[in-house]
Amino acid sequence: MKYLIQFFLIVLPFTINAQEYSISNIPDSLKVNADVIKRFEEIRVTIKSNSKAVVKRKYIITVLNQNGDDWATYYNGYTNLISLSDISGKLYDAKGAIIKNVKKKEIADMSAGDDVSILSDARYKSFSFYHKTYPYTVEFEDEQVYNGLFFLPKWIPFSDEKMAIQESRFIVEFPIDYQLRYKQFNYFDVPKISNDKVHSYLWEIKNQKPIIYEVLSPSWRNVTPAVYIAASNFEFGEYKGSMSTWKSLGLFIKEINNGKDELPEDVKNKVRELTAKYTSIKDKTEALYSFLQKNTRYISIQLGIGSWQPFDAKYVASNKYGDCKALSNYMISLLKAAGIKANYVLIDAGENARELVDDFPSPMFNHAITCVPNGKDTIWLECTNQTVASGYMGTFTGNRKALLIDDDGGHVVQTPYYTPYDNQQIRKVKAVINNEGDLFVNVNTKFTGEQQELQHNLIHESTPEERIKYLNKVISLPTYKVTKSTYTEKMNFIPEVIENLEIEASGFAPASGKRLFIVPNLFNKSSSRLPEVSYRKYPLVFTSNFLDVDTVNIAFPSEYSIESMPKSSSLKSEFGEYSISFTLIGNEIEMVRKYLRNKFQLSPEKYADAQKFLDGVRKSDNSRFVLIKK
Amino acid sequence: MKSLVTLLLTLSFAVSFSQTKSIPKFGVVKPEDFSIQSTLIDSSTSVVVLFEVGSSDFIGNNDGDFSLVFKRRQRMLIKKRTGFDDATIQIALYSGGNSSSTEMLSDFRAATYNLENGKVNDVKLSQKDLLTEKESSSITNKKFTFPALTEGCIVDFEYTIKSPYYTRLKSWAFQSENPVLWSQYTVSIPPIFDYLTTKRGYLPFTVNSASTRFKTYVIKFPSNNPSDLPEYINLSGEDVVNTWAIENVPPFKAENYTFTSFNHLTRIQFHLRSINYSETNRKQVIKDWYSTAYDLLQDESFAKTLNEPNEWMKENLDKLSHIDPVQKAKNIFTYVRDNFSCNDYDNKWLTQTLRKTFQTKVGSVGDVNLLLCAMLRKAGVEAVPVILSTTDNGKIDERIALLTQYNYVITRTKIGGNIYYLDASRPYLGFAMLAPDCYNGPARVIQQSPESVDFITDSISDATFTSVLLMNDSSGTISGHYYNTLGKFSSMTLRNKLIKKSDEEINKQVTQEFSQAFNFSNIIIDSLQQFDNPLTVQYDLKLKDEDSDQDIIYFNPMLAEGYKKNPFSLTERQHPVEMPYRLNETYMLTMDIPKGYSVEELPKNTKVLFNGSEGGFEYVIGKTEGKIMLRSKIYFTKAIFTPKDYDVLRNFFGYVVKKHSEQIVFKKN
Repeated sequence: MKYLIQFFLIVLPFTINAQEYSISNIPDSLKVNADVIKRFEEIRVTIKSNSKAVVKRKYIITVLNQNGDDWATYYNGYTNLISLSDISGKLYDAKGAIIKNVKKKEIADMSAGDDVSILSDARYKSFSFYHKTYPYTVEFEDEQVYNGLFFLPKWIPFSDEKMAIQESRFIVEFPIDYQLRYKQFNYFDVPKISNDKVHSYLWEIKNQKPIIYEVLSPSWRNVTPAVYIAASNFEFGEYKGSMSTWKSLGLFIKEINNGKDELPEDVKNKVRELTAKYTSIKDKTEALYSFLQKNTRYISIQLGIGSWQPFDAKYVASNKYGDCKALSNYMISLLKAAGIKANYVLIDAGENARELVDDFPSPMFNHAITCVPNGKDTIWLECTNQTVASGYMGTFTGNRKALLIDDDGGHVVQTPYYTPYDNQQIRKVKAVINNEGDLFVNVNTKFTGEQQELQHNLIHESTPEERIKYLNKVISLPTYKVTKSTYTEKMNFIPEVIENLEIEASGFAPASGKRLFIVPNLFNKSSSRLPEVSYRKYPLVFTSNFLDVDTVNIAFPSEYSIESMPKSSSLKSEFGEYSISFTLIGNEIEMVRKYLRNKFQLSPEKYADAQKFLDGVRKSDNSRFVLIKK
Repeated sequence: MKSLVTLLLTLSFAVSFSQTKSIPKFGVVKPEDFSIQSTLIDSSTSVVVLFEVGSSDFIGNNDGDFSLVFKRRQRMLIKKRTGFDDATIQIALYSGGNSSSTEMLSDFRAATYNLENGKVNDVKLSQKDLLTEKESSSITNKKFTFPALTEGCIVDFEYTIKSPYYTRLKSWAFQSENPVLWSQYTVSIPPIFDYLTTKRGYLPFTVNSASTRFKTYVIKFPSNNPSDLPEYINLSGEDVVNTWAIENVPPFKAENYTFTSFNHLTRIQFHLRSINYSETNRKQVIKDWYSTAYDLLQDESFAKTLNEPNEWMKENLDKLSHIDPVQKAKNIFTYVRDNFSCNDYDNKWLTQTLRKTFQTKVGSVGDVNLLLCAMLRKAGVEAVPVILSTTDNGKIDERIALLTQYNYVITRTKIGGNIYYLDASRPYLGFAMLAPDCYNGPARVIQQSPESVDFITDSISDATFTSVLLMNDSSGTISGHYYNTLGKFSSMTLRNKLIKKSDEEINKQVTQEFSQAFNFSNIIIDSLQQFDNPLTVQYDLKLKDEDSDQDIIYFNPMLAEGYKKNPFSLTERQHPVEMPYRLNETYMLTMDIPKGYSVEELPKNTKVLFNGSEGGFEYVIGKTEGKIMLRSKIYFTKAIFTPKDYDVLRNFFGYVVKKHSEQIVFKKN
């Protein structure tokens, strides 16, 4: 049996004969809803030692129509620590006859520097056949050498929706005395294992139909099969470490950051001067954080191990810039100089961040922040943002697990979680329609938590043009003029922005006819809707917590009376509650709207309920009064 | 005599304005520099460019030719954090492969200055702070970022680029996103070179002076034999030194409905017109159109191969042949369009041989459309290239045969007295159609007698027509039919959007606007794959019967088709509004008055004209025998509007939005 697996592993991938490329070998069932068929894929990871792994990749893709063209483009990246070589590619027609071979000089070699980094060693090579006769098949092979096992490749056979898979396999070979760790997602079998001269693990899938992505679906990782692997002992640059546990991964990070917290004398003096008058950790931290914000800026340089190792505190002190690692390290150094212990924290930042996998220690992070432990008043600091309130994490780094680095190694911790009551938008609208049909509005809005992020940026980052664009989005009136706009801000742990707008919209209610149509919900109409579907496979994921309360008062000319008045309504679901009420007080319309939403995962069979709820909200939001001339 | 006086006056005028500002030396920053006052600075200003000064000079090089020496110096006052991004500078250098064809950066100096307790402190950058990134085989970027930035600091930098490419004498933009207090460019040109100088934008020069300066150039000619001594040539003469400067340059603001900011940004640029080796030996670089066309026809990177036997394409051409020459041209056009990809729409030149394009299936717009031209010719169809400048490349001055103005090439064919302009580089464009961005003014036919043809934006119209029919059906609800024919250009836009989508996604998209009130059936999208025809969308609709049996029904007869938002939301406009084509939108509704109801109120008819006869909006609604008929039409006779027209345009659309929101009121009998 052992022998058989070996044979299977080594011989098969390289004995595909020409006719097998023919599209006639694709089962018809796989072509449904597919633009491309992954005919074959093999990713073979061979771990040679703690300092070296070789990744051989080969894949064959048949493109059925023009929508699949992107998948026929070869693309792979490299850096100072991961080389890329031995690229070959072939193009076949529908019958499986070879049309073209890639020539080495036709492969483009480009900088892959992201927009944020001023300098990065990330580069990529790419190639495309630009073939337009469908269907056609491409085959690519390449080899990467990883210097150090800090990063290892993943196997995610479904690269996207509309891709069917005939066969894809992931082979990992490693020395008998090495401990490799792996984690399977939506893969419900055990790997095929052989333990001869080396360990060899095989995962594979065959004949799988495309995944159809649905709105509000769970993340790709939660719906598609995948296998992640991670090192135990590894080398990275000149460093050695282990990531068998979060603790040991933390110890490694501690080691590469070691000795980088030395501050120049003048900065130490500054720290003393700034903190002398305070006694509490909170006050001292806030003073130093404000110093950091005023005296540094974010500049990213990512080279080699430098993409994980911070520039030291002295570098930041003299240049007054650094990336997330350098600035966090600098913040921790400042706090240390004031006698306050703080921790470096690795995290996956962004609104669509990957969830930390608790039982699978691996370096799946893209950002660093600072944590000042202080019991229940623990302070979290985002060191790359010069304007955010001390302690506020928000949508960028809040609501998730992260790895805190302490003296004894790494610990998985939870960053602040923001409830709907933390993320509010409380709006009061007072409006008057005059006899000419012109509208005069005063809009007073309090935004808190995640709901104040946009307004916070408007205050600090935006140009006047961007502010006008924002107002255009908020104010959907045919013609209007903003006569006054003011913003005030409270920098709490849950920050708060108060916006005050005065708006004039001439000719809002045309005076021509007998009637006036007024939709009292002037500024907060929901437009979310779920499409009609015949079948729902995945749960629905509602990703935000918020609470909106709108109170609108509109006074209309006394020569009008009410012809029709909208109905008040209230709706309730597991992921939200909504109510709207309309009342008439003399010649004034009052609308009170409350909309609360929870982060929630709703089971697929409740799709229709969710649809009904959102339709109801949309409909009520657009309710209108009809006034008629007396 | 009169002209002489004018000339003299002009000269003295020029002299009196030739005073340039004295620019402080690098390293000299005074405390008062931090508190500079200017009317250009307001509370939103994040960066003020205190001055930006540049120069281009020639030197003799060691490769038997001239090189250009470009110097740039800039000092900025960074008032706000939001301006910190401007303190990262990137300089692109071109490399032709070896050292003599590579641009070199030198004399780099940069420093940050902070005013601390009345004292100016500096942090200097050194050569090692200059980072290098190889973007591609021919472009290397040098980058640096200023350290120790604080709000209110000054940053200052200078560098020199030595370049062998004197045909690319650097242009100068006086205007940027930041206010510039002083922007100045000096160019010294030896008598051997003659450059054409062109200015864009609207700001007048504060300084516009010319003088001469005697200069000697030493050019070294490398020897072919190592044993021979190199040869030197000394060239002397009067350089012409021009200086242009503008004081207090307001920031440039990008606006919607602008083809390209290049049309409006104040800048100056140079084109090598001729090299005058001696009085009798003169190399004309910019020629008249006849010679230029002649050169292009001989140029290997353009039309030379069009006249060659090109036997390699014969086999494929035979398959495309047809007895009707127009059908033959269509076959060839379709073949090129459907089998070749364009990876550079901003390059009229061949980047490789036509045969290579034929093999790799990809190339620039030049490669693809000249291949089309060559194939048509080989098949015996008259075809010539036509060069033009797309709207995003900017306006051109076609009086001069300046090829760098043109970025795009199409093919013109003449069959039986009919002219067809063909563009096979865009995957979904029909036969004899051009995308709206090709309509940007004059284009030039490259043939022995190079005629000029006009592709004027104002001349193209896009007529879309929508008709909705609603009837009381036998079941007591309202059902009907929706029909929409798009104009030529909006068909292109929608086709590009839909063509890669599944049927389900397409159906969703075309019915999206109506889906709140209606259910759909029999959705037909016509001509999605027939690129020669306009798109039509039609379907049956049935009113969702919620809230039926109300006493009063308020009904917007525009359904979802009306303008809901004013496309011109900003209150002010600096530059012309450039729309891609003339709008012409007609909407018609015919509906039965709902059973058991009568009309209580109808919106009023209206007819407004835009600027006299330059456009209009009609909204005509009427009631006859149980039916309501509406016709709403918006049309323009031009596509480009001056800033002066802007208020009128904004109010016009504001009015349309309001009118389109009006309701019919039905009352139960």
